[in-house]
Amino acid sequence: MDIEFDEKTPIYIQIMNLIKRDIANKKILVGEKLPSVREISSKLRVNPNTIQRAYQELEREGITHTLRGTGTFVKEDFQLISELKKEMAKDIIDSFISGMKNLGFERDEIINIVSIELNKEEV
Amino acid sequence: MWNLIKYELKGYYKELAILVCSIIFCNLLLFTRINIWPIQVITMGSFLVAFASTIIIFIWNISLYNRDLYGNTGYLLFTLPQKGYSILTSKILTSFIQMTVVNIIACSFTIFNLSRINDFDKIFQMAKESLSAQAVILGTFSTLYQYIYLLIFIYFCITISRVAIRNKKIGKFGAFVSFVIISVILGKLNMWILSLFPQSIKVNVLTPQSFLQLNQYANVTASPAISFNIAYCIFDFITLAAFFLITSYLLEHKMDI
Amino acid sequence: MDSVLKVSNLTKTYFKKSALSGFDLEVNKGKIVGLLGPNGSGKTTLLKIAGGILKESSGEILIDGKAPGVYTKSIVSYLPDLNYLHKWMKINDAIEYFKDFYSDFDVDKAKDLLIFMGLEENLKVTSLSKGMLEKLNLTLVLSRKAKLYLLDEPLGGVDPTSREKIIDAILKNYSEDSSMIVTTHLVNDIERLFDEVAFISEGKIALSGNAEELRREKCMSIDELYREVFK
Repeated sequence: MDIEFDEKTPIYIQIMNLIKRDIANKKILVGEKLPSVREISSKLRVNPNTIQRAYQELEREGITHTLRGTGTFVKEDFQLISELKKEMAKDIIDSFISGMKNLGFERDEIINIVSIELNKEEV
Repeated sequence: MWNLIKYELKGYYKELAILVCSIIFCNLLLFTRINIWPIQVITMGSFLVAFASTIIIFIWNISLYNRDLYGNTGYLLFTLPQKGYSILTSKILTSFIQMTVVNIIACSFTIFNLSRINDFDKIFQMAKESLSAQAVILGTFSTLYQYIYLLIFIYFCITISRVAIRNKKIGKFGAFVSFVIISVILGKLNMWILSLFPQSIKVNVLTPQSFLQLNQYANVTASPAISFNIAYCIFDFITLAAFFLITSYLLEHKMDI
Repeated sequence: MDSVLKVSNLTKTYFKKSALSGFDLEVNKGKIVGLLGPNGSGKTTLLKIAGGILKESSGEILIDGKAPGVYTKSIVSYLPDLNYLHKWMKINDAIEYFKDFYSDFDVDKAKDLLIFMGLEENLKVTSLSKGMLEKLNLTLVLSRKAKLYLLDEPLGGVDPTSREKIIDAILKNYSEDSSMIVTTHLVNDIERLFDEVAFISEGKIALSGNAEELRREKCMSIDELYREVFK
C-alpha cells in the first residue's frame, strides 16, 4: 500500500484523518486494536515518530486509548462513529456548499439538485 | 590487528602465489641448463631470481600501503575502530610474512644449487669452523633490522606526504622527495654523532681457532671484527622508534581521506 | 545524554576554499535527520568528519560526547558515496570482514537483508551493478547496531525499484536507540522518512527544523521547500 500523501501538509494529520475515516466507515471497528507504529511505518513508508505523533494526537482527541505494552485501541464508544462521521463530513459539506454558492446556486436549488443526484444513484 | 593481517594476506594470496610460481618456474628453467652451463652460473642465476623477487615483493608491499592511503579502500580502512599502531604493525608484519615466504622458496633453490658446486662441502665446513657464532647471529639480526627500518622509514615518508599534501599525484612524488631529504639529513646527523662519540663495540668475525690459524700465516694484531658504534646504534634505534610512533599517530589522528 | 551528535561552529577549509564554515547541528537519539543541499554544499564533508576520516579545521564535533576517534568509529556506521570495498572481495567476504572488525555487526540480520535486496553471497563485488553495490553497502552499514548512521546519498544513481527497497531497509532498521543522518538531493522519494531536516548551503545551515512543522508553517512539501531555499 503506497498511499499518496499530500506532502504539503503535515503527514501525521493526514494519517489521523485516514484512521478517523476508517473508523467512520467501519473498516476499523470500535474497540479494535490499531496496527503497531512499526507496522504502519513500514507499510506507508513513513517515519515511525510521525506515526507515533498521530497516535498520540488521536489519544489526546479521545478517539483512542493506549494500553502500555499491548497497543493502541479505538475507544469502545459507538457514538464515536457518528461523531467522527459528522466531523469529517463537515469539511466536505462546507466546501461543497461554498463551491455551489460560488457557482450561483441558492439554498433551495442546492437541496433540490442534491436530491435529484442521490435519487439517480438509487436507480 | 590480526584481522588486518588476515585480510591483507587473504586478499592478495593470488599475487603472492603468482610470484612464487614464477620463482619456481625460473628455477626449473635453470635446472634444465644443469649440464649445459657451469653450476656456478646456474647458482648465480638462482641467486638473481631470489634477489629480483625480493625487490619485487618489497616494491609491491610499498605500493599496497600507498593504495590504502590514496585509494577508495582508505574509506574502509580508516573508518575501522583501529588504533594507528595496529594498522601500521599489521602492514609491517604482512610485508614481513610475504617477504619471508618468497625468500625461503627462492633461497632454497639457491642453496640447493650452491650445494652442487664441487668444492662446496669443503668450503662450507671451513666457513662453519671459522665464522664466529656471534657474527652469524648479528648478521641475521642486522639484515632483519635493516629491512624493518627501511620499511618503516618508507611508510613514514608516504604517510607524512599524504597528510601534508592534498593533491594525490604531488603527494606520491612528495613521499619520494621526503625520503631523499630525510636520508640526507640522517646521514649528516650520523656523521656528526660518529665524530662526537667514537666509542664502539667490536664483534669478532672469526672463531678463536681460525684466528689462531690466521695468525700463523699473517701477523695480525687483533681478530678482524665488525664494530658497532654505540651512539650510532642508539640514534638509529631512536629514529626507528620516532618513525613508528609518528606514523602511528598520523594514521590515527591526522588522516584526511 | 540524549544528543548523539553535536556540531558547533565547524569549519573545514582547503587552502582558500571552505567546505564548511560555521556549521551547527544537533541530532538527538531516535531521530532521522535529512541533510539536504546541492552538490558541493558540504554534506559529504560533514559526514566524513563525523565518520572520522577527515579532520576539521576549527570548531567542535562530538559524537556521544566524544571527539572523533577510535571509540566514535565503533559506534558510527558510515556509508560513503563511493565504492570502497576491496576488488578481491566477494559479498560473503565483505560480510565476514565487517563481522571481524565490528563487534556490533549482526550477521543474521545482514544475511536477511541480502535476501531482501536480492543479492547472492557468492557474487564478486566487481561484478555488481551500481544499484547492487549501493544495496550491498547499505546492507553492511545497516547490519551494525550503531548509535549513529551516516548515509551519504544512499539513493544516488539507483533505479526506482531499488530506491524503494533501500527506503524500506532504512525504515526496517530504525531503532529508538540510534539516530541517522541521510544526505540526499533526491528529496521527493525520501522526505517522509525525516523527523528533522537541515538545509545546508555553502558550508552552513540555511534552514532547519522539524519536518512536519516546516510543512505546516510553509504549506509546502520538503521537496518544494528545497527548491525554494536553493533556487
